[in-house]
Parts: sequence; C-alpha cells; structure tokens
Amino acid sequence: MKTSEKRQHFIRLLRYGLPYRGRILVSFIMLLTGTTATLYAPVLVKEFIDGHVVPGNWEQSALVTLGVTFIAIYIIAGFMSWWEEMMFQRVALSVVHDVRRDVFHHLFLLPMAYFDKEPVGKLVSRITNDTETIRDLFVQALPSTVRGIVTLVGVLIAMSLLDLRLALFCMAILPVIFGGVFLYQRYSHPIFHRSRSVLSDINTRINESIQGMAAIQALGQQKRVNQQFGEVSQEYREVQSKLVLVNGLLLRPMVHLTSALALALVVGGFTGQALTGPVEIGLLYAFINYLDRMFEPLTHITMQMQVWQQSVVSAERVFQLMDEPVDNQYDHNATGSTSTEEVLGGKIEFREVGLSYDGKQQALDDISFTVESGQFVALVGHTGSGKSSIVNLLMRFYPYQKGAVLVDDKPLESFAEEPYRRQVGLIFQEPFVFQGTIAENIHLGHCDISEEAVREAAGHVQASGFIEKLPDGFQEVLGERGQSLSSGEKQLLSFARTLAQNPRILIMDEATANIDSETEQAIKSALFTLRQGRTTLAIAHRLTTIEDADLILVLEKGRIVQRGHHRELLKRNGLYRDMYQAQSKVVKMDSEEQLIVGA
Amino acid sequence: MSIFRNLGWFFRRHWIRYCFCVLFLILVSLIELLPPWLVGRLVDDIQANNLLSVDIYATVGFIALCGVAIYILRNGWRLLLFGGSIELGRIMRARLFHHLTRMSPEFYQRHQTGDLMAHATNDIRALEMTVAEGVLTLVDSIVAGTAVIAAMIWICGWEITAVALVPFPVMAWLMSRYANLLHKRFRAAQEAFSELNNRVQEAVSGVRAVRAHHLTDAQKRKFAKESDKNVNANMQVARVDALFDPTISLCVGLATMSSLGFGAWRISERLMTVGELTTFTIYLGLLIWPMFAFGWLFNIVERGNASLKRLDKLLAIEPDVKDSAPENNTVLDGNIAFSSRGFTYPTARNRALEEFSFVIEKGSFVGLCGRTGSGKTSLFRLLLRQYDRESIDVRIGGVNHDTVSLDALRNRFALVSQEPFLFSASIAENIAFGRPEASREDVEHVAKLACIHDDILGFSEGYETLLGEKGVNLSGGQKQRLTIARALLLDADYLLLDDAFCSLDMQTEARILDNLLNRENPGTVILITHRLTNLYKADQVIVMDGGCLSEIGSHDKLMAERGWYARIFERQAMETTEAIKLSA
Repeated sequence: MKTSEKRQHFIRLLRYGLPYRGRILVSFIMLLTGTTATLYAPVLVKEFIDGHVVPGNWEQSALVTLGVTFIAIYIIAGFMSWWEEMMFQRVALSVVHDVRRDVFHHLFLLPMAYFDKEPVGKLVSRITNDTETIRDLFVQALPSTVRGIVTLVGVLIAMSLLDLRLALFCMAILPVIFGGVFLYQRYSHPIFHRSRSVLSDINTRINESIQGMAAIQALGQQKRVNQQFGEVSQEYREVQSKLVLVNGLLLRPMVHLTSALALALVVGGFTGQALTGPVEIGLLYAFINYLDRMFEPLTHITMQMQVWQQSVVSAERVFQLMDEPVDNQYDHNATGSTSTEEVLGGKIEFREVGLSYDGKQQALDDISFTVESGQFVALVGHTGSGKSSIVNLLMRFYPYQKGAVLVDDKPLESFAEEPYRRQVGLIFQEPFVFQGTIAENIHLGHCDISEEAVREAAGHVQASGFIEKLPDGFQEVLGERGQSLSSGEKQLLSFARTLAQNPRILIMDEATANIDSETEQAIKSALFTLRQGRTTLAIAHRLTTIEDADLILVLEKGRIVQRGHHRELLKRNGLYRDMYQAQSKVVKMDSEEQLIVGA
Repeated sequence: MSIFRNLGWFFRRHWIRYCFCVLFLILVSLIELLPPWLVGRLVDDIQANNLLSVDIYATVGFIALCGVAIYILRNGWRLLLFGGSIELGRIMRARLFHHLTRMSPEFYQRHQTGDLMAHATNDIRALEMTVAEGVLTLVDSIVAGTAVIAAMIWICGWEITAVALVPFPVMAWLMSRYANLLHKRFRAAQEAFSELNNRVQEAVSGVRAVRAHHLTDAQKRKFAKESDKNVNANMQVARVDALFDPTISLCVGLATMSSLGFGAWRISERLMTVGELTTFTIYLGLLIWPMFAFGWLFNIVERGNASLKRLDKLLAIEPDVKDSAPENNTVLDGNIAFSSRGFTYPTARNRALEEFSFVIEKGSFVGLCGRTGSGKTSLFRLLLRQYDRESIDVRIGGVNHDTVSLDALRNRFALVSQEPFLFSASIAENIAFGRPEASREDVEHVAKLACIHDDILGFSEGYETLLGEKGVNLSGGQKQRLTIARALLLDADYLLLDDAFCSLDMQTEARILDNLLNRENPGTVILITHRLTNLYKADQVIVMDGGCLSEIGSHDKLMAERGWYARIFERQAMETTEAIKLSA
C-alpha cells in the first residue's frame, strides 16, 4: 500500500469521528486541563522544598496549604483523566459501531454475484475482525498517542519554564529515543508480521485437523500430521524468540536505558551549575519527576505502533468492501422506488431473455415461456443448463441483459423489492435455518403472522409431527444452522415457513439430498398442499415428481430445447426421454421382472 | 499459587533457566537502588558546600553505567523468562495436538470445534502469559518491593518509611480488585463480540435466504442490537480500565505529600538530610511497579490456573478405545463375522443396536440399507473399533479384531464417510493424503475409477488446483468422488462406503460402482445406501430396522420375501416403470 493511500484510508477513518467532534473537543480540553494539573504538582513540591525544607523552617500552615492544594490537584487531575477517558472511549466505540453498521448495511446492497466469489469466512472476518482492529486503533492507539504527545510536550514546556538550560540538556536525549523507535520499526515489524502469520497457520492447522480428524484417522495419518504440526510449532517458537530479543533490545529496556542516561545528564547538568553558583534543590526533584513522566508515554506510543499499522491495513480491507459497487435494486435511495404495487395474479412471462454472469458466456439465451396464474411449471436439465439461472432471475438475485421478465404483465423492475418478495416464496434446495426457535423460523419475524397461523402452516405440511416431538415444541431453540434437525425435517420446516407467508408465486429448487423414503412421502404430499392455488415454478431433479406439471421446460446450455407435458415429452425423441431413461436404466436392465410384478 | 506447583514438572526441567532469571531480576532490583542514593549524596554535598567536580563525573558515569548494566540484565531475564514460556507453549500445543489425534469420533461429538480451538489458542496463550508474567510479578513484587523498602529504612529511617507507605497497601488492594473486575468485564466483552460474529456469519452465509424472505431490515435491527451490546460491554471494561492511572497517581501523590511533610519536620529537627529526602522521594517512584505487580499477580495466577485446569482436564480424557495390543500387527484377512448382543452409545438412552449376527464373505459386495437411524453407520463404527464393547464381537478370518493393534486393524479398511472432508491442499495431495508417496499415475488411476479425473482436468491448475478457502470450491458430488478416490488409493482389502454416492446422479453412481467392483483387486465392498436400485448387483443385502437386522440375503431372495426391501425397491423402481412402458 502506498503512503498516500494509507493516508487516505486513515483520513476516511478519522472522518467517522466528525459527528462526535463536540465531544472530542471537550475530552481534549479535559486532557489538557488534567495534564496541566498533573504537571503543576512537581512545581508545588519544588516551591515547598526550596522554601521550607532546604532552609529547614518548619511551618505548619505552609504544609497545610501545600497538602490541600496538592490533594486538590490530584483529585482534579484524576477525575479529569477518568472523565476524559470515558468520554473518548464512548466516542471511539460509537465510531466503530458506525463503521460496522455501514459495512454491514452495505452487504445487503451488494449484487448476489459478489457473494458467489467471496468465501463466507473472508466476508465475516472483514465485518468483525477487521473492524475490531479498527476498534483497537480508536480505543487504544489513538488516545494513548495523543495523551503521550500532550504529556511529552507538556513536560518539555514545564522543564523549559523551570530551567531552560537543564531542559535543553534533557532534550539532547530525544534523538536517541527517536533513533530507537526507528530501529524498532525497521527490525521488529517484519518479525512481528512473520510471527502472526505463523500463528495463524498453526491455528488453521489445528482447526482443520479437528474438523477432519475422522478423515485423518480413517487414512491412518496421525503420525504424519503430528510431525507436520511439530515443524510449524518449532518455527513459531523460533520466530517468537527472535521477537523477544528484538523487542527487548529496542523497546522497554531501551526506553529505561535512555531514561537512565537522561537522569545522568540532568544530574550532571544540575551539579555542574552547583559548582559555579547557588542552586535550588527543588529543581532537581522537579526534573527527576518530569523525566519519569516523559518516558512512560513514550513506551506506550512505541508499543502502539503495531496497532497503527494493522489498523490501516484493516481499514483498507473494510473500505474496499464498502466501496464495492452496489446493485441498485436493493438501494431504495437510488431507485427512489416507492411503488407499493403487489403481485396479485401471479402470472409469469419470460420474453426472449438473455443472461450472462461474466459478460462472455451466455447462461440463458433467448428464453421465452409463460406460466399462467395457478399453473405448475417444471424446469428440467443437466447441471449448468440454466435452471437455477431462471430462478435467480425471478428472485431478482441477478440482473439480466436481454429481453423482458413480466409478472402480472408488468415488468419485474416495476415492483419494489419488499412487496415483491412478500408475494414470491422461494424454497431452497438446502433450506437455511436461522438462529432462534422453530416458531421464529416459521414466521421469520413478520409480525402479521400469528402463532395460530404458524401452527396451522406446520400442520398443513405435516411438520407438526416432528416439531411436537421436540422437548420444547415450537419454542425449541435451534442451534447453529439447525444441526439438530435432519435434512428432511429442515425441508418440512421451510415448507411451513413458505406456507405461512402465503405467497402468490412459489419457486422451488427440489432437494437432491437423500431423504429416507418415509420422509420423502411426507414431503411429496406437503408439496402438493403448497402448490394449491399458487403459481409454481420448480426445478426438478427427479423426473418422477413432475408428472402432473402443466408444462415442462427442458433446458440445455441455456436454451429451452423441449417443452410440453410429461407424457408428450416421453413420446418424443429428445433430451427429456434420454434423461428419463437414464434415470431408470439401471433398474430396467435387471429388474424388469419385478417391475412388472410390482406394476 | 497452585499453578506454580502444578507446572512444577516444567520448572524443574528448566530450573537452571529460572534460577538465572530470578538472579537477574534480583540484580536489577538492587542496581536500581543505587542511582537515587548517589543523587541524594550529591545533594548533601551541595548542601554542605563540599562538592568536587570529580564526584560529579564519578556519579554521572556511575548512573550511566547502572543504566547500561540494567539494560543488559533486563534483556537477559526477558530472553530467559519469555523463552521459557514460549517453550511451554510449544510443549502444550504439541501435547494437545497429539492428544487430539488419539481421540475417537465420540469425543468430537461431545466437544465442538470452537471450544477445542479456544483451548488451543486462548488457554495456551493464558498459560504462556502466566508463566512469564506470573514469575515476573511474583519475583518483582517480593524482591523489588522488599529491596526498595529495605533501602528506604536503611538510608532514611523507619519512621518516614512507615508514614509514606500507608497508601501503598490500599493501592495494591485496589489494583487487585480492579484487575479482577477488569477480567470479568473483559470476558463479557469477548462474549458480546462472539455474538456479533455469529450474527454476521448468519447474515452472510444465509444471504440468499435473507433476501428471498425479505429479512434485510430484521437482520439490520438484530445487528444493531448486538453492536450496541458490544459497545456497552466495552464501556464497562473502559470504566474499570480508566481507574488504574488516577488511583496510582493519587496514592503516590499522597505518599509524596506525607513523606515531604514528615521529612521537612525531620530535617528541621536535624534528624534527616535534604539528600536523604531526595533519595526517598525517588524511591517512592520505584515502589509503584512492585505494588502494581502485587495487585496484578493474583489475577494472572487465577487466570492461568483456570486455563491450566481446563487443559489438564482435556488432556486427561482417555481415548474411548484403548490400543490393547499395540505390538500385534497380524494381518487380518477373511470373512467378517459380526455379532451383537446390544450396543448403546455412551450418551444415549436407547440401544442403537439390538441382538443379531451376520457374516460377510471375503471378496463379496454387500449392500446395507434401512431407514435413517436404523443402525447402519453404527455397524461401520463398530467394525472399525471406534467403540469398544464387551457385547460386540467382530472376527475377521476367525481372529477377534480387538486382539490386534488399532493400526493393524484400521489399515485393512478404507472408509468413505457420509460427509466428505477435504484438506486445504492441492487435489493431488488430497487424493494421496493416505499414501503421500503414491505416484502420479496411481493418483490419476484412482481418480479415473472415481469418475473425477475429467472434472480435475477441467480446473485451470489440474491436479495442482488448491482446495479450501484459498482455492476453488467443489460441488458436493465432486467432493464425494474425491474422497472415494482417496479411499481407493489406500488399496485396502475392505472398502466401506457410507452413503458415499448420495450427492451423485444415478448414472455416475452406477459407473463408479461398476469401476469399483471390476477393478483389479476389488476386495470386500460394503455399501450403505438409500438408493436401492444398484443393489441388484450385490452378493448379499442386509436390511436394518430399529437397530435390528430385519432382512438378509441375496437381492432375489429379499424380493421374494416381500418385506421392506422389496417394497422400497419397487417404489423406487416403479417411478420408472411407466417410462419404460411409454418409451417402449
């Protein structure tokens, strides 16, 4: 990443702070007040030492005055620093919240194609881990750097005000410090990054081994993976040791060393003055005190350098996602669409539709067909023939380039997203189960669906049977992705969900997963229930499930090659009959005898 | 402090390292005491007007020298101390990993990946930290604390020391309270973060469902709620975190105050010199760290203890199946005789298998079918001895399968499981995972048998194509065929296929099955399947029902018996009858 780019990302991050500038200003003023108060305390002590301790005049009143002022200053400073930190933390966390919200919202505006090419893990990590690194910047690195600089400048000013010559003596040490920081940057960072990547390698390995342990054991490779793991572990150990060495040489111990050298300089300078004339002992106290305060923030700043670097890298990743071009149909502000038009009839018409995902290959080519309201139309074809593309178009997951898709004789685009989706129910090949209860998974948070309706829908699709067997029935909380349910049960659940929505149009992608025959029967009859009174467009994998379809469209390489009823198509030579026979060929050869008996 | 005892084995093994480390820490604490004392003496010289420039040079030089010495010693103990904890981390990681490779499937059902990962990362890191920072804070709070206080008493007298120290125990107590609170709230914040993570995970992986069911706004609302929770949890952390600095400076301020007042009085009474007071105030600064460490110590130890307990508990779990005869590597060969007098899974209430027995002949093709949950996969698990039960008796060629080593037993079998698992490596490496030394010809040969060769050539990198997050994503059917190829490469005499064709279409299934049965050394093939259409090829079909063996025999025999098998076979076949008639 170029420096200019880094700066741009950084400025963009800082811009998130703009809405909170008032609070930032107040907390900055508090920081200045607190620092000033803290730095004033040594001056008080100095006055006391020079005025009372050194001359040896013990005065109770002076002591009381000093004590009261002193404690007052500390309480004020302490309170200011706490309050300032609270305020700044609140701002910082709000900023991160805003960044997170923006990137999360942007997610829903992205075209579906984006999700096809980016792995889930990567996207999730962008929204959580990368923003977490940005959080580290705002809650740690930024405030401690600002505080460090304010303290450093404050100390230098205070020193100069007290004794300019001695202050210059101290500043002589600054180049050494900056040199150390430079060296640290130069030598520690590469090792640090190396160590992080090796650690993540280790964790990936453990993770994968845990998940694939059954495979490892089945293949008898325990010894080999153990040995490989040992090698990575050893590598991590070496990198870590190097990091400890470099950090030791250049970080904390280095700061302590320079602080000792600074002490030597101050003592030398001060006593040198004492040789030639009278000096104030209190001044020495004040300077030693200031030196302590000067070095602590420096250590902090140096340690935060890594956070700065990482957060800029993370910011780049987050902004990259935020800058991904959006699909306008999801962006209500862009379309300005306030159409509340609803799908009433449920007629679907494709007119010479063409679709290409990559601009090169045609996924759909010259597709035309009509599904009248209430009809059942099936899509058939091999993998990659374009069945899913038709569904994708109708679900508005992808934009098409040629022709027109009409619903209720109106262009698809004329419907606003929300009312349209309300009337179009999609049943997935692999139904998605949301975190929450069974009931929540059926009504999906749409408050117009009553508990009654949920139960009714489940009953209609024969899902009540398995739901009522669960310990908590409809209130049973489903784990991650509904792991506790079998795939057949998940199917039934998704049917209930769709039925409860009561859509005009039903689009379904038939499940290929193997479901035992009993459940399959339940699913078949549930599907029949679902289709009643709705326009249905179904992708079929088993041709036996579509014998009663009003129309079957056979697709090959993005084109419709055959259309008609089941019986018509079987009588004709063509892809449909080939597929049908292929599916039954295995049986045909050897078991005709039994078939005839069975028939 | 029990953690130091529990990790005794480690400290004993590295005792020289830790002896030197403690020695260095002590030396640093002692040397640190010198510069303040020298400064105090110079101040007294100035006061007494007998300051010599030689003294100045000597003092300045000596302070600088102390700084250099401390720098060297500090680096020394850091290398020793952190080096030690890195080593401990490595040992624990290797132990845990080795342990994981010994655990049976049962273990992985009880423990979720996320939890195991937390042990491998957080707990080991906490342990590393405890060993490093625990030793450091323990030694420093005791040694450095004692050294500074001793020096204070010795140089400036016990009276002023007693007066000045009053706030410090309070500070140590407060530090320990804060640390405790901070830790608790920090955990809450981490949990809030993990909830947020789950929320995003769901939204991203379910993006199609979210869009199709118009749940965008609901997702946004849920996310905003989680993010708010996250902010609040972090504010709770900040509220405690921000207390540390003000508390420390207030305590030190109070101590400075009281020692200055008391010191001024002692000086006016000529019981103390200005130089001594100067030394004293600098020593006060040196006390901050030991007191802070003292407060922090308990927290670190407590955290490390919890982690160590969790790790120890995990490592103490014995594998469910013990390798009873690790030396016996007899090659098992022959018919498989399986006999069950009942089998129940450890956490289950009901029996998974009832009483029955059967024999599978060497070299035969056996179909295993039945409803979901009827006990088919359990049979495979018991064959492979993933569970040990008195009531289960498996003999291969007449030899009881628990009398040979686990390796010897499992090497005889190649298993293709229901859910294909592939590693983040190239396709070739994945196929050769069980036999890394296999030649490319062998790899391609099994790929062809599994009907995946052409698919592989279709990828831009061919057999070198990477799989997983960094590489391409395969379809379910491709994954399944790759795992079949992987199992075939093992060249085991018994091939177990657990619903291994479920994501394939019927044609491909039939082709692969033919390839398997007609290859050079087909061995014994046992296939669990829901699609019965291919079982007419089987030498024997076994039907399971509710943990019982309900039907057994050849395809023809079972068809004639007119039981579940015949019924389902016909139903599946019936769907095609009409096609045959119509197209005929």
